[in-house]
Amino acid sequence: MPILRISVMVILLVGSVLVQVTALQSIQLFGAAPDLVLLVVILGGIWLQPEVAVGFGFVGGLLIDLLGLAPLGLSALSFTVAAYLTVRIREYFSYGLPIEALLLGFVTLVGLGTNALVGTLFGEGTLGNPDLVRTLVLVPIYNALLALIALPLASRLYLGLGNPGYR
Amino acid sequence: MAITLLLVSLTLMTIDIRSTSGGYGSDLRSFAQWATGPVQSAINTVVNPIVDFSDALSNLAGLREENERLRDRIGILEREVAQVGHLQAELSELETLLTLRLSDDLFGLAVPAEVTGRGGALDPTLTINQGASDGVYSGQPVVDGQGGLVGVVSESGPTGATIVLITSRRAPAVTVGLADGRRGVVKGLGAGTLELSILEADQPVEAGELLVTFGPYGDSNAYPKGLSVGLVAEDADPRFGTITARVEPLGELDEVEYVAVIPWPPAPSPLEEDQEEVIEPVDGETPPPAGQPDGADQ
Repeated sequence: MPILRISVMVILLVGSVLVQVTALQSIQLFGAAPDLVLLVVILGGIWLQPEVAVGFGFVGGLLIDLLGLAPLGLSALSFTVAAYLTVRIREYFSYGLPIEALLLGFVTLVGLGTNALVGTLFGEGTLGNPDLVRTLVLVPIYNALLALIALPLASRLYLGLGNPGYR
Repeated sequence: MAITLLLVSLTLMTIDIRSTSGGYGSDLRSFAQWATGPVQSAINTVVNPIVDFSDALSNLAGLREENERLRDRIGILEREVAQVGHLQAELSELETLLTLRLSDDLFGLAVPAEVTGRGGALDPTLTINQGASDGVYSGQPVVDGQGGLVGVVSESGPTGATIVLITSRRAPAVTVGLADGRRGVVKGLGAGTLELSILEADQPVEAGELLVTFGPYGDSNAYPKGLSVGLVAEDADPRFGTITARVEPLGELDEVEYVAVIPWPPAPSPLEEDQEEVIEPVDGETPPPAGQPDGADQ
């Protein structure tokens, strides 16, 4: 069953990467779009084994790096951090849907902030981007709102797979 | 596990940044674009008409508020736009791109391409479905259907390429010409904005002035002459001999669906290539070319 669970998450991850680099770039609200890949990575952090979840975050970030121009490994690093943080606080993801959505938004913020900080250290100048504040505010909000739908769906999906996961 | 992956990420970044051109990062990106290109195109085929339709709906709603007499007409247009608007826009843009000839001196036509992907929340990029096998190479300028400068090819794989937008800090600065003959430099600031700088300025610039590429100037040969870059967004007076003004890009960089890659700089003619071979230093010296007795003067 763990293999089935991982397979489902990998399919979700690849699908989210493709949607992220195509559809979501065209459908932006107030100049920002949800970070679907980060959302799936955080869901993986909630539901998968800790080691698998962290590796899952790394792979998700690496896929984003491969389809963009940022230094290879930048998103991989920030998504790994997000997955690790999710694993560390995963017990709080059982405190009710509103709290879970807020936590997911917070982890999204940490992931994006890590991306901006490390990107700047590696010469990307991200912290000087005038769009940074808007992105750091709106994307976590969008992800938190999406989580209100995604978390119950993911919960049902995993119960359907025969195991409530590692939360 | 987490620390190992963090170290791997840092190593990947370091290697990728230090590789000046090509390298494993470029190869991996090319492969990823090749592998996902068809899927991205398929998703765009489904999503773009929906986005265009929703845009058309919002526009029509605005018109309805402004003029209620046209309500019935808008309903008809709404259906027409939904049915043929997207296809017509694509057709028009493709026709423009296919016939785009930059100048008599520039051989060949620009390479039309479809935008198949967009990446980077903080620093947007475009992915197109034409690559090195189609004559698309790193450093070539990219324009939209109206000839407005969109960006520069940053990475080129066999069947796809990545475009860095002119509004990005990564894009090379553009030397532009103003209507009164002055030169300036336009640089991307990120977040969809551009900034114009004019040194040794004694006259103001006015909002709405069109900026076009100046062409090769000094050591800069990144853009051919005459590409539309943007409009000056605000009046600006000289301060200490320098003018700085915000510039609005002409094109909808976030929504462009088709672009053309300009074969720039133009490939040297066979005669020029021969001359370059003749004057190319060998072992640190410049031997006199065969058949040119005065070659020793070079």
